[in-house]
Amino acid sequence: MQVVFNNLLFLFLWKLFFTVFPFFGGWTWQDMRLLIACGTGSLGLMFVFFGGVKKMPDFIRLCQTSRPALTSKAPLFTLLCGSSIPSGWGHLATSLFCFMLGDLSLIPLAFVYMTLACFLLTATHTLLYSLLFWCRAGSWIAIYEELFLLLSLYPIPHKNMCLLLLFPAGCVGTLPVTLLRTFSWSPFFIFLTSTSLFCFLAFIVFFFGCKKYQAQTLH
Amino acid sequence: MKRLQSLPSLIIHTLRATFSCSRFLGAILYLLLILWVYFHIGKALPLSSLQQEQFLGYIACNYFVLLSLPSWEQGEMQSSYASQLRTFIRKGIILGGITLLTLKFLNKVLIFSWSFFAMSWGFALLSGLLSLLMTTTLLHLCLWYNKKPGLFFWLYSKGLFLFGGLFLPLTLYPSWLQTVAHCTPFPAILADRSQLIFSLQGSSSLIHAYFGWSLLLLGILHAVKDQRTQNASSF
Repeated sequence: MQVVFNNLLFLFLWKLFFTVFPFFGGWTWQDMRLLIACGTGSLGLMFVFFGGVKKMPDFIRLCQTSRPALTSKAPLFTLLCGSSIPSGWGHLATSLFCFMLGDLSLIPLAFVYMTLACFLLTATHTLLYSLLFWCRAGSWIAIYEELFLLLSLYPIPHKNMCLLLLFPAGCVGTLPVTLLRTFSWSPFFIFLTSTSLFCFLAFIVFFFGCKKYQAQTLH
Repeated sequence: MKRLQSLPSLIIHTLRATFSCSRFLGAILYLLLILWVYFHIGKALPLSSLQQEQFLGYIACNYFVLLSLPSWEQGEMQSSYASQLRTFIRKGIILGGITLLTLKFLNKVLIFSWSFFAMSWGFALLSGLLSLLMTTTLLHLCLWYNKKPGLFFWLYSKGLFLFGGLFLPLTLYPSWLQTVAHCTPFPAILADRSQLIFSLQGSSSLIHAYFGWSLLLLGILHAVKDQRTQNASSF
């Protein structure tokens, strides 16, 4: 409930903002609503289906202390899908509410983008947490997460999107909204490439992290 | 001479202690990013350049105080009052300085000056004291009712977010919401102080609000403490 209240408060404040300034930098209230819908939807999907991502620091700590033998053939997949975070349902409910305020027919297409964004979010988190195999940067990862969310859920004027795409917070909120408004292949290609690249990187970094500890266990 | 030598070392020690804390560096990064975001939002708003600067200044004044306030989640509220106040002052000075420098960098013409910021810091200190009083009263109320304080502090942060006019000046809120907001102490902590950037006329009413709310909160705190002492002695 806290998550829903939090998200609705955020939505309400932006509604107030857009009542005073109905249009700025290419953003309208409809776009903002879609941004919050896509952002919370992606986050919700990640928490519900890949909730294990938040347990990665514990897993890595376990690897560092007791060096368990990895029995699963796909430890990353087992770890990610192993648990679910209930607050994800709150995010999904907010997302659905935002779509219900406007055009429900956008949901199927938005779901495709949110799924891609969910993979990207999971990959980014996995990549970040995998750094814990080599360095102690737990607090910095929490800071990055906060900044990532800030950039994902704020309406940055479209001409300043470069940083967002590099970060890649723009792919979670701004890019899906752009695609939902008018579909074109180039942003979709950027979105797809970014997601694939981050998924690949996350897999590789996690694989080498596990390898490091397995090699140490053998010695 | 010895005192003169110790002052720079004290400053260096304070800066080192502050910057060695990754959470605080995180707050600095958050502040810089939020200023960058609102700088671009402000530039896109259909306002004159003066109003755009005022808008950014308003947001900046809100955020530097908000990020300086002791946080419940980070365990800062569990320390002594003096320590909380010290943390607030230290964070406020550094974050305020960074805010001013960033605004100077982002805006070629700056409507507000060092003197405005000095005044803003003064009011920020009063805001910090009021917030400290409020959180202390909340904590004592939680202890009295045997409730976990987490939820109360979460509501407190949401109150600051909504009624504190975090990213929209309260004057632009619907009139019913302005009335509701002014029935709480949150505008005195954030919005009313930051609104001084638009006009200095509200400064005297702001001081009245600080003292009024402080007296009320002190009264509640005193009553709750008395009640708790009586309950304890009756057992």
